[in-house]
Parts: sequence; C-alpha cells; structure tokens
Amino acid sequence: MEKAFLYKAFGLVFSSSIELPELLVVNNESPDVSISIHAVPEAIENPILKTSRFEVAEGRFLLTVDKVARFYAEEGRIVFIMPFPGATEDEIRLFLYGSVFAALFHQRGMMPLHATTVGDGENAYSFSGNSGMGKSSLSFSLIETGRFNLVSDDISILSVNAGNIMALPGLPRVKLWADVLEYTQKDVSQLRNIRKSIEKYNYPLEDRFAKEPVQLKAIFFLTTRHQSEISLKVVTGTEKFNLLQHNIFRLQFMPGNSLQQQYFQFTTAILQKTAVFQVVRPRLGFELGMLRDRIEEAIHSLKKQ
Amino acid sequence: MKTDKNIIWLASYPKSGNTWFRTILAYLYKKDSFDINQLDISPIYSSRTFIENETGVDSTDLTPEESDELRISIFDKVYGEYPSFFKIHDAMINLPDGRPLIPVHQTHCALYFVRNPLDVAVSFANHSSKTIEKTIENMGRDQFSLAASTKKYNNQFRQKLLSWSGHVESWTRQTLFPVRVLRYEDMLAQPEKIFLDTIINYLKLPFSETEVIEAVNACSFENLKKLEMEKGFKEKPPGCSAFFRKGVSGDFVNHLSDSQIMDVKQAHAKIMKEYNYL
Repeated sequence: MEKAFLYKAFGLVFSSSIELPELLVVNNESPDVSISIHAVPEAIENPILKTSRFEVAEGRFLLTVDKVARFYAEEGRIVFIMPFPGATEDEIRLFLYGSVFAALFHQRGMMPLHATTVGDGENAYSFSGNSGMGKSSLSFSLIETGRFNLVSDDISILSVNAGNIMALPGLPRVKLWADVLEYTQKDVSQLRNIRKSIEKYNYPLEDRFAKEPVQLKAIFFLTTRHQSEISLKVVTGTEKFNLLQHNIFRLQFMPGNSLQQQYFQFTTAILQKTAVFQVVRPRLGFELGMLRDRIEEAIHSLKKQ
Repeated sequence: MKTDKNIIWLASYPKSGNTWFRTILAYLYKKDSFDINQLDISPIYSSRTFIENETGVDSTDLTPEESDELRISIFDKVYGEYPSFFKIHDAMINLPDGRPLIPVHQTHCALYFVRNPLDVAVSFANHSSKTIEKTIENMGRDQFSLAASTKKYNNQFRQKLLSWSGHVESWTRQTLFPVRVLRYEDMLAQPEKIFLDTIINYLKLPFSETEVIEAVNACSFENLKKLEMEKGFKEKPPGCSAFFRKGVSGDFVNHLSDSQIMDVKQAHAKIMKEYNYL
C-alpha cells in the first residue's frame, strides 16, 4: 500500500501521498480528505463556471496552474494533483494551500474567509481584506509582541460550536513580503521563498501557533485610502453583513447556488457574536507599529466590555 | 481563435495625456454618471483583476514573466464588442518566446500619446515622488519598469517601459497594427480639433460633434483639477499631492537645470526632433 502522511489543518484530517511539511502531523485519525498524485481530467462535465484555467461544477473543481500542476478536487474529500514537468514541490504546495484548499472548503460548505486570524490565548481576532491590504503583516507584527499567536494565515475558517463562533487553526506559517521582514529585522536568508524569483517568504510559526480552535471576538476589515491618518470605526447593520460576504475567499469556486442560503445564514450567525471594525490606513507613509498599536487598543477596549 | 479586432489601446509613457483622454471617453459613454473615479471604460492592461478572475489564483504567487504570458493568452479570449478600450504603459515589446506583449490579432488600433520628455520629466517626478534627477536617469534607462519591486506587494503587474525614446519607438515603429500618434501639446493647443478628429474620423465612435465638444469642455484640465480637489482621484499614486497638476506645456523651464535639459536633449534627440520638440 502506498505510504500516506497524516496531517491536520482547518479542523480536517488530511491523508496525503506527498509530504506537506507545513501542516501539523497527527496519528491514527481517520482522514476527511485524501490528497494524491494522480491523473487529472482535461475538463469536467457540466461546469457552472469555466475559464481558461479553472472549472467549477457541483462537487467538482479543476484548476490548471501553468508549468506547476493541474489540480482536481471532488466533493470536499479527494484532491488529485498532476504535476507538470519541472515543477517543484514548494510550488505545488503553494497553490494547493491557496486556491485548491479554497475550492475544497467551498465543496464542504465551510465558507472560507479571506483573512488572517490571531489569538491571545482567550479569543481570536480576524483581519480580512483584499490582497495587499496587510492582513499577514499586521498579524505578524501582533505576534511579534509576544501577546498573540497565529491561528490561520490568508484563509480563515470559522465554525459554530455550542453557539460560539470558533476560528480553526490553519497552517503554522505566514507568508510575508521581503519589505515586511526587513522592517521587522528578520534574516531572510534563513527563510524559504514561496517561489523562485518572488521575494515573498514562508515564515514558520510552529512555536507561536494556536493548535486548538479559538473563540472569535472580532473581525477587522482592512482597506487603504488617500488619507494621512489611520482610522478605525465600528461597523453595524447591513454594512457589516456586506463586508463579510465580500470577503468570502474565492467565491467564484462556490459549487452552485444551493450554498448561498447556507452562507447567508452562517454570515448572520457569525455577526451576532462578533464585533466588526473597518480599519482604513493611508496608502503610503504609515508605520506598521502604529497600526498594530491602534488594533491592540481596540482589542483592549473590547475585552473590558 | 478570435479574429474580431475590437481592442483600442490607449498607449503612452506615463504623464502624457492618456488619463485625460480616458476621462473624455468616460464622459462620452457615461455622461449621466460621469465620475473621474470610475474610468472603468478603459481599465489598465496591468491590472491584477483580469488575471485573478481568469486564473483563480493569487496573482502575487505568479512571477512577472508568467503574468506577461498569462495576459496575452487571457486577452485572446476577450469577446468584446468594438470598441474595447485598454490603457497601457508597457512598451510594445515581444516576450522571450517571440510573441508580442499584447493580443495583436484582436487589436483594432492604438492611440499613442506623446509629450515633450522635458515636461514628462517634471510631471513624472512629481507623480512618482522621485527627484527630477532620478526621473531623467530612469527615462534614459533601457531596462526601466513600473511596479518592478519584487520585494513588496504592487497593485499592478510589472510593466517594462524601456527608455522614453525606446517606448515611443516600440509603439510607433511596429507594423502589426495601425497607430495614431497624438501629441499632448496639440491636445492642449487645439483640444476640440484633435479630439473631434480622433474620436469621430479616426475611431469612428458613434458620437456627434456636439457631444464630443461637450465632453472636451466637461473634461477641461481646470474641471478635472477641480473634481480631483473635491472628491480625490483614486488613480493618483500615494505620495504625490495631485494627479491633475498643471497640464501645461513648457513648464520644464521652471524646474529643470540647464544641464538636466541638455541631458534629456542628448539622450532623446532623435525622437524629440521627430515630434518637433527640438
């Protein structure tokens, strides 16, 4: 029998024929998802969305990343990977953990959020927003204070447990650009870049990682504007509903409209228990440390309530 | 393969009148809801959005070379009506595999906006918060690119510009599709004449003379400047005070030293003569 590695992330147990060193190893648990190197179809039947690089159908997802691999995910349980010649394992895992996991989560109805989440031992706080808004950088600077640990980077999964909203631990690493690592005085020569020629690095955080689900207290939506000051405001009503819906990760991978109602209800459930803030920072000339301090102040006052 | 030639490229080195033209197009097509912050009638070719919608991956996980290759193959299947406008600052170069940077078989034509490089130097320095000295040096560099840093997030893909002269030549010497060159100075001196001729006679867009003149007046430099002051302009780069700054020609005499003027003239003499800047 082919050797399989067992891992846990986002509340799921993965059995994989390839090593996934970024994931936490587990023993003797029954797998929810199996990942293997396997032939992948050229196309899938009855796609509800089809572009030149990916196809989405009910329960099925196909993704081609040029020169890296073709990926296929089915029913949230099976992932097949067909690497292209010359692709490195690092590259294959990069897209596996990003878009392929996102598709898998949608197939399972888990509503992935485009967010990085940190915990303070008691509660979790998510930072959500588009690429480039500083989710990982801000979270990393909070972790650097020693008062927070990482729950999940870039994709966050929430679940309802006995009426509480829990943030599930993802991968114990953050992806950071070289400029942020330089700002925080890290030696990039000790780190692995996500791909050759891209100066974005995997920063491992095994020792500062929340291994168990953490109760979510607040979501901060990050954006930028032409302004000179950092501003932070509490969001209420439909605005917070819209913000959360807009930050569902890779919504186009949602396999059919049947999930819409489920995501609608889940969003409502999350927002009943969670404070929502909108954080606007200047596009240029702001200090990451100042932003971190503002967020810590907000977290501090939330805890006093 | 798509053969309809539906794309009109609005091509230029930065700060040469491209956005001005785009505001006029936006006014013509969306007069009732005209907003300088909604110039989506002519999106930029280096936008991450196209690639992410098509590839389904985080485009910052792609190398600049991959992004270049993806841009063409993705635009290959843009089934738009004539006209589809795209703004582009990239020089019109070939990729390492020999394919042109843009989907030529879908290209109807390009408008190429050219401006006196002495004025470009002043405006581009302000735009990118760099010194005039550094800007002049960059305008002479064959390898100059926008969004070139591989160390940080850029909201656009890397765009190879070449030198200022190289940029002009890359668009105006190629023979793959027709190019209409518009001098910024002519647009300033005779806006109605130039825009009427370009929009009605050359592009054959479905607008009357009256409509074009109304758009030209609504998008006068003074008005654009006023709109930017009132509402801001999201295409303005961070760090510079205003996008629509002066909009005049010959302002370089107030900013460039004699030796800087000489440097620009020497580096770009051939092309400057061609466009009556020397």
